[in-house]
Amino acid sequence: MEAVKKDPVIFEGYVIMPYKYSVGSLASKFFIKLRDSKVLSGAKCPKCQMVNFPPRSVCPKCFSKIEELVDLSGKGKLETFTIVHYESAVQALKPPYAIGVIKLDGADTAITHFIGGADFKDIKPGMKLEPVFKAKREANILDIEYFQPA
Amino acid sequence: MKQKTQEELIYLNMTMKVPYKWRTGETMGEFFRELKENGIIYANQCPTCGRFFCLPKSVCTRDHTVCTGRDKWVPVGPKGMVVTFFMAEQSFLLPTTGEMLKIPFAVGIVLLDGATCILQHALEETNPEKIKPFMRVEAVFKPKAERKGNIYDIVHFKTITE
Repeated sequence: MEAVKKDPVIFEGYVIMPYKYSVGSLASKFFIKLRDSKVLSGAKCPKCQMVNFPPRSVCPKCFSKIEELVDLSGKGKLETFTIVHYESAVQALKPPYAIGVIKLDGADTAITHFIGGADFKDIKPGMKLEPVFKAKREANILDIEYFQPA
Repeated sequence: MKQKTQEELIYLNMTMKVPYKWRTGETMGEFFRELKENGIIYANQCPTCGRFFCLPKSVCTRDHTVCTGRDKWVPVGPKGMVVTFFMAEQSFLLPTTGEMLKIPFAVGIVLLDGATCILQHALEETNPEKIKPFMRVEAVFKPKAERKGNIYDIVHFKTITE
């Protein structure tokens, strides 16, 4: 090879794999309620009464099978949050954005989702939040666009 | 018997898209640079056994001699001859694009003019009845502005008559 230093040749590519994921019977009911009536519902354990939101078909505490959904108000409380500035190829939004852990009223577990409609400096743990739904809903968790201060 | 009503089940259609960067190394980098900038296909030669490689290799696969000497590079092609070929008649998902392979798809093992070396690449002719051994072909390059310095800078090999 010549002594002249040349720039390395870099091949930039993607591995792209489309796939289809079945959410299961209970989560289907949850997503249909979300899509058709903008109602958030939790999975209530028949044995220990724990309400899981987002719903789970097996109770994480007592391993009982859950088949019942209970409607929640949709309002909740911010447990913790972070502001994302780092950009990567797999994000649903372009940074900067706020993402938080939100525990809905009546639920025992929390969901991670976006926080919008507020300045980053005004976001505080413990603040009351409510969901903002997309106009065109497609039965997935991004039918909730973000949670905003209630 | 209890009649079971069909419930709607939700499926999420997702696409996993993982970006990656791959450094070609000096020898293959020089090959792709020549392909991109000058539209020339190069082969390199092992100084010990005299075999030619296309794509060029930095180490001979037979005697493990280091073949990085640029003086042993010879331009080959763009014309050549189909030694053999294979066809894809069953489509499959291409992991680099996420799309299905357009069938029928023919790959030729092309003996390039100028040195005894073969290059595997797509053939323009996709009718297996019309692809014959020793058929003459020529590389079709992308326009210079569209070349990116990778093997897809050669679109395919088209059939020629001489």
